[in-house]
Amino acid sequence: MNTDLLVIGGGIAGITAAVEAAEVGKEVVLVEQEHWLGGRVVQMHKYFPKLCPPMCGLEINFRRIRQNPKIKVLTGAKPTKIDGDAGNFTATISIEPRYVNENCTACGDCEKACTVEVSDRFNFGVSKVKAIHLVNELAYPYRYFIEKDAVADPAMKDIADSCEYKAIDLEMQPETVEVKAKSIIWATGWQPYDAAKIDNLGYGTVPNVITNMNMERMASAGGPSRGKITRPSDDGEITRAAFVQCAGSRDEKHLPYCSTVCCMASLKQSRYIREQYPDAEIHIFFIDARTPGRWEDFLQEVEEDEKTIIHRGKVAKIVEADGGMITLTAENTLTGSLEQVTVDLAVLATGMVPNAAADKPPVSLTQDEFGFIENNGGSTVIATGVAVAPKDVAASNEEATGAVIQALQMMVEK
Amino acid sequence: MAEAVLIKPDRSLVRKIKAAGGETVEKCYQCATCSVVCELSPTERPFPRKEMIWSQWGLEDRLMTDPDIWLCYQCSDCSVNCPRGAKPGDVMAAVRRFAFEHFAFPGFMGRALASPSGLIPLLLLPVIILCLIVWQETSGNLTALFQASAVVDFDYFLPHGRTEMLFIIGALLVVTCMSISLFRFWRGMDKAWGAQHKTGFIPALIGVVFEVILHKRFSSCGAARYRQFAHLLVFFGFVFTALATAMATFEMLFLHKFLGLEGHYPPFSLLHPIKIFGNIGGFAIVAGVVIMIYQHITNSENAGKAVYSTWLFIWMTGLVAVSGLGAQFFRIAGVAEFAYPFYFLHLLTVFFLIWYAPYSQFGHMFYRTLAMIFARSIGREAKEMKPLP
Repeated sequence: MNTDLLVIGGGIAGITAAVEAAEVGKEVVLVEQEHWLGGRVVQMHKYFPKLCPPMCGLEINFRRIRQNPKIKVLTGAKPTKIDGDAGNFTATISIEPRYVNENCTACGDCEKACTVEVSDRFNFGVSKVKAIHLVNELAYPYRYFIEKDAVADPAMKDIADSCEYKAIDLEMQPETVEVKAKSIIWATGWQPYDAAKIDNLGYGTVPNVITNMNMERMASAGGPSRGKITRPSDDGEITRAAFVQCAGSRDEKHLPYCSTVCCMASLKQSRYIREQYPDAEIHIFFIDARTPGRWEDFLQEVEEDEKTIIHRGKVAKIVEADGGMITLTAENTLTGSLEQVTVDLAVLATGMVPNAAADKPPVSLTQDEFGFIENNGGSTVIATGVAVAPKDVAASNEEATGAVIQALQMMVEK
Repeated sequence: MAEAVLIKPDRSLVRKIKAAGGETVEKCYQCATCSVVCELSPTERPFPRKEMIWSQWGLEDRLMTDPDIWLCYQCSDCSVNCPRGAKPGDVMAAVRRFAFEHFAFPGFMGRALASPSGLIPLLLLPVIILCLIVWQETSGNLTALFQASAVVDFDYFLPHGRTEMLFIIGALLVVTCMSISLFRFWRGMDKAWGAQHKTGFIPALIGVVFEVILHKRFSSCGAARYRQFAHLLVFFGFVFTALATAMATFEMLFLHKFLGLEGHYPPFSLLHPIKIFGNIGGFAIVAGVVIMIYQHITNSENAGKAVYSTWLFIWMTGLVAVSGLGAQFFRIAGVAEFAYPFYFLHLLTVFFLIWYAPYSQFGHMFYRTLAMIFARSIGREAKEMKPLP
C-alpha cells in the first residue's frame, strides 16, 4: 500500500491530521489500535468551556473521512516496524481481526442474541457488555466487532450462524500490511493515570470514589447509566459531591507534571452534577485552580454558583463514612484549619499518561522521562497531540493541523 | 480574612534552615497533604504546612514563637506522603535546630554547638579542667597509676568530691541559662498565640509528664515506628542513670560525708542499687543509640535528615554510656591502661552533655516539654475532627 501520509492514532489529533491532509489532496492511511475511531474524545460527555457534546464535532469529522476516498482507515491496527526516513518510510502494520466483515449492517440482532459478556473497556470496566457490540451509536466504522477474548467461547458459534448477512467470521485471522509513506504523524494520545495507585484516596477500596473519566462515561447518554449521575454503590441520588484536584498529579510519586486539563474538566463536571441535581452541593478541592487563558471566566462562573464551594487545599485522606457516604479531609490553607466534608460521590481528577510511555513506538523517537515525545529529537516522524504533552481538544486540533504542514513540507521533492 | 500584614522575608534564615537539614524546604507548594496525614496535628492551625511557608519566607518571629515545631516528633509521615519531596519532617527538625541557636543564652554557645568549628573549644574546656584535677591529684606522676601492683582507684585519679562539685556547679549554670531561654520562649508563645490558658501550668505539666513517660505521641507515628522504641530505651536509660547519680550523690554527700557513716563511698558492689540502676540505664542507652545509628544509616528516608548536630548528640549519648560501662568493666578487670582513659572519657562526655545541654539537641527535652505544657494549657490537642455542617 502506498500513501503520502501515514497517521498513527485515530483520536482527535490523528483524525484532524488525516482529514486536513486528505482535503489538500494527499493520500492518507489512518491507523487506530481500537476497533473504533475517536480516542478519548469519543468517551467524553461534553467539552469545556461551551459544554457542547463532542459528538457533533466527531460526526462532522467522521463524515469528512467517510466521504473522502483519499483516506484509508485501518482499525484494530498497530505499527510493529517502521523503516526509512522522510520521503520513503516503510511501515509494517499488523491488524487484529474484528471477526465481523463488511457485510455488517449494524442491525443489532447479534447483540440481542449474544449471551457472552465481557468487561466493558469503553466504560473503564465498570460494567459488562455483550462480547459482540458497538461502542456507541456513533461508532466509526459503524460495524460490530467481537472482543478478542470471547471469540473462543462456544456460544459465539451460534451467534455467528444466526447472522443473516453472514457478517460474522470467527475464523478471521490477523493480517499484516506494509505501508509506504512519505511522511508519518504520530498521534498515539494518552490514557488516564491508574487511580488505584494513589493509596490515600481510596479508589478501588472506598465505594463511590470515581475518576474524572468515570464521570464522563457516567454522564454520557451512551454510558452505562444512560447519562444518570448516581452513587455507584447503590445508584442513590447525589446530595453532595466533591472533586479532588491533582489526584496523583504534580506528585513525584505518581505523575510529577501537571496535565493542564483536569482543573477545567472538574469545573465542567461540577456543572454536570448541578444540571441533574439543582440542590446538590459541590465541593472542589484545589492546590491552585489552573485555568489557562480566557478559561478563567469559566472558573468565575463556577465560583458565582452559591452551591459550589471551592477549597484551597489538597485532599489527602478519603475514608468510608456511614450510609455509603465518604469523608474527605483537607486543610483549608486560606483559613488554616482542617476541614472534613462528607459526600455521596468523590471524583478524582487524575492526569494524562502518554500511551507511548508503556507502549514504545517501533521507531526512533526521543521521549522525555514521562514518555512524552519530543519533536526536536532528530526524528523525521512528526508527533502531535497529547503524545507530545498534555493538552485539551482545541489545542490538539491546532497542533495536528500544524503537524500536517510539516508533513506536507516533507513530501515536496527537493 | 484577617487584616493585611506586612511580611518581611529573610533569606538568610531560609539559608540557615536549609543548611540545618531543611534543604528541601523550597520544594513545598502548600498543598497541605502534610497537615492532613500528621496524626499529632491539631484541627485548628494544623502543622506543618504553615511552618513550611514560614520557613520559605524566613519568618523568624513566627517560627520561634510556635509551639508546634516541638509538637512534631519527626515520625516522617508527612515527608513520606509529600507529593513534592519537600520533607516537612526534616524542615521542622531544622527549625528546631535553629531554635537552640535562637534562644541560646549566652548566644555564642548556640553558635558553638551548631557547627563542627565549635567542637574543639567545646571539648577543650572539660579536657583542661579534668587534666588540671588529675595533675593536681597525682602531682604529675601518672606512671604510679599504671603500676602492675596498683588497684584501679578512680577516686585517686579524679576524686569524686571534685567531680561532684563540678557537676553541681555546671548543673546550676545550665539551669540558670536554660531558664532564661525558656522564659523567653514562653513569653514569645504567649504573645504570638494571644493565648487564653484554660489549664494551669502545674496540671498541664503533670499531664505532659505522663505523656512523656508513656511516649504516647510516638505511637501515632506511621513511617518511623522504630523511633518510639529507640527513644524509649534512651529516655529510660537516662532516667535510670540519673536515679543512680542521685542515689550516689546522696550516699556520698549525705551518708558518707555529712553523717560520716562507713561503707557509703565508691566503689559500690555490683549488686548495690546504684550499680544496678546505672548498668541497666547504660545498656538501655547503648541499645537505643545503636538502633538510632542503624536506622539513620539504613533507613535514612524515614529516619529524617541527620546533620552534624544530630550525629554529635547521638554519638555523645552513645559515648557516655559506652565509656561508663567500659570504665566499670576495666576497673573490675584491673586493666589500668584502659580503666583510667575510659573513666576520663566518661567524665568528659558527661560534662559535655550536661554543660552544653541547653544548646545541643539534648535541649529538646526542655523546649519540647515547655511547648507541650503550653499547648496543653491552651487546649491545643491532636486532631479531633469536626465535620462541616
